[in-house]
Amino acid sequence: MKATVANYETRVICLRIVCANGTTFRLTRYPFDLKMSNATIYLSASGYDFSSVIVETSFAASAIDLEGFITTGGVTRSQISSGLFDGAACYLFATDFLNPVEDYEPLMKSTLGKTTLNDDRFTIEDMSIVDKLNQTVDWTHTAQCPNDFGGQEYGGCKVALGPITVTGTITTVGSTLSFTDSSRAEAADHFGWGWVTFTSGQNVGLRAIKIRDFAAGVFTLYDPPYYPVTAGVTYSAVPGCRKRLVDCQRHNNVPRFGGDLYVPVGSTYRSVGGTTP
Amino acid sequence: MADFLEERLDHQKIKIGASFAEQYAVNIVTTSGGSEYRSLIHPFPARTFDISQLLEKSETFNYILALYHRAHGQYAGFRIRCYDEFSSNGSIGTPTAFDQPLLVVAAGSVYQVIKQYGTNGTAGSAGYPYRVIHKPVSGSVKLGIGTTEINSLYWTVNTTTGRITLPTDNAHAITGISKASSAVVTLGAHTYVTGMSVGFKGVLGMTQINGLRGLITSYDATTITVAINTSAFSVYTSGGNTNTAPQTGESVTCGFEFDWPVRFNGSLVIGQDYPTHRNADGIELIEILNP
Repeated sequence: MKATVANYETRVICLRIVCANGTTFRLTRYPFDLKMSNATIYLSASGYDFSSVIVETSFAASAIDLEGFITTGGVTRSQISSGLFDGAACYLFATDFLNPVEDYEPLMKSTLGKTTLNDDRFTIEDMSIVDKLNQTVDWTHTAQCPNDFGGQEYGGCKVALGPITVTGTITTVGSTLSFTDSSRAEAADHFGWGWVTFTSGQNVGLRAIKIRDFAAGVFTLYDPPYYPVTAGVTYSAVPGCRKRLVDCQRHNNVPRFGGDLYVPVGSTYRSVGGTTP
Repeated sequence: MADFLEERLDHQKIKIGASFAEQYAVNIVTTSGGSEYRSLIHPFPARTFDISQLLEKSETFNYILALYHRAHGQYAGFRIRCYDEFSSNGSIGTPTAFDQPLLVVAAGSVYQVIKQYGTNGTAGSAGYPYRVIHKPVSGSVKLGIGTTEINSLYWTVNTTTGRITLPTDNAHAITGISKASSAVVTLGAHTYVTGMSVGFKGVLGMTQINGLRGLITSYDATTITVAINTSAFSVYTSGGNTNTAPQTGESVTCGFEFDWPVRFNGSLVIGQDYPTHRNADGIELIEILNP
């Protein structure tokens, strides 16, 4: 049973989206902005609507679609396209519009998923956090290490990323996918498959971008930054790991290497014991 | 937000034969056993107008058609004046500064004009319904704090949003108040002028003046004279402040005439009855809640 239930006669549904960088959007279906008892304002200006509100009491994942219009006062095209909403936490709750209280009757906590832009309208698919339990947890044996680099979970990589994260300033920009910091002295490929986050300029707060290659101070990325970067922009870079034993050797982490280099593949063991029928 | 034209539909075109309907957003679920569960989606009334009866002359037809095009049909809103209801004082009374309460947007500085309904009886648990007035008529708005009407020189109203803005509070410490039919208040150097109103709080001795507000009728470099009779009050001893902005416990009210923000609610169908006459049926305007 829920601890508190909003009065169904004067019930209104509100949604709070907390992005990974801390930016928070507060939305309501009420026709006017709604001021909560804690003085936070839930906006109605962009004509948001929550369709397909399905709340499950079982372990089936709940889902909602958030639809809205891209306007100057609400969510902007840049915010959606730049990935600001990727992986954002979503809190859906009901309250009484006569006495609005934030999180009065929690309906669902979820994670924002696929976002679709259609002219001036956007739709964000939103899955309940119960969906995380649907993920496969079987162990797959591969030659590559299955651990996430820097993961601190039990049996994980355990490399501390904080001490090896570096900061710097872009000196030249080669293309939309590459930039150079001429002061970088790390060996080639030190940052390969690592991540770069921009800490000044227009890309501040946006998601980290995976590094494809690094050599002689030149970073080459898999995806271009949403806003073009320029010389003078500062960044933070985490060294990478290409999931090989040599990478663990580079980080003094061989005991935690998770790959199975010496498990024979099918063709190997089928070739022993005679000729193939 | 869609376009809004801010022009008023010429009332001569809709004065006769127009009708309107008022409606609330109520969701009703009836069970198979016959029980009914009603919920209020939001508490704001929405009005629809039917102006189909007055388009008989080609002059009127041309006017409406031009407006329909300017509005891009159902896209843009515009103003209309409803001759059955355009005032904060009842439906058509002359507005006074004390007709309606205001919604607080920022206490002491920004307020939203609203009009309450059904206040001649006791409200239900959902309170009195009200309409957010976005389009007050320029020059008609009056503002009251407590029982004092505030000179329009000392506040502003946005007639496209219905928001009233008061300037930053102008406060001064009191050092003396005389007992007189119009009290003389000693402040030291001040920036008050005749026509402003000031409220009193924190006064010791002459405590009867706390919570009162009075208009300034004259002033000099260090004193103001206010329209408050303090003859029967106790003697001032010390302390206290004067404030121009509304203080805790002071009601802020207003009066106004208003237009209705509406849009066309369908296609414009014109019948050609006679060379100089045009007939049109089913032209419906609907109120825009958040123009």
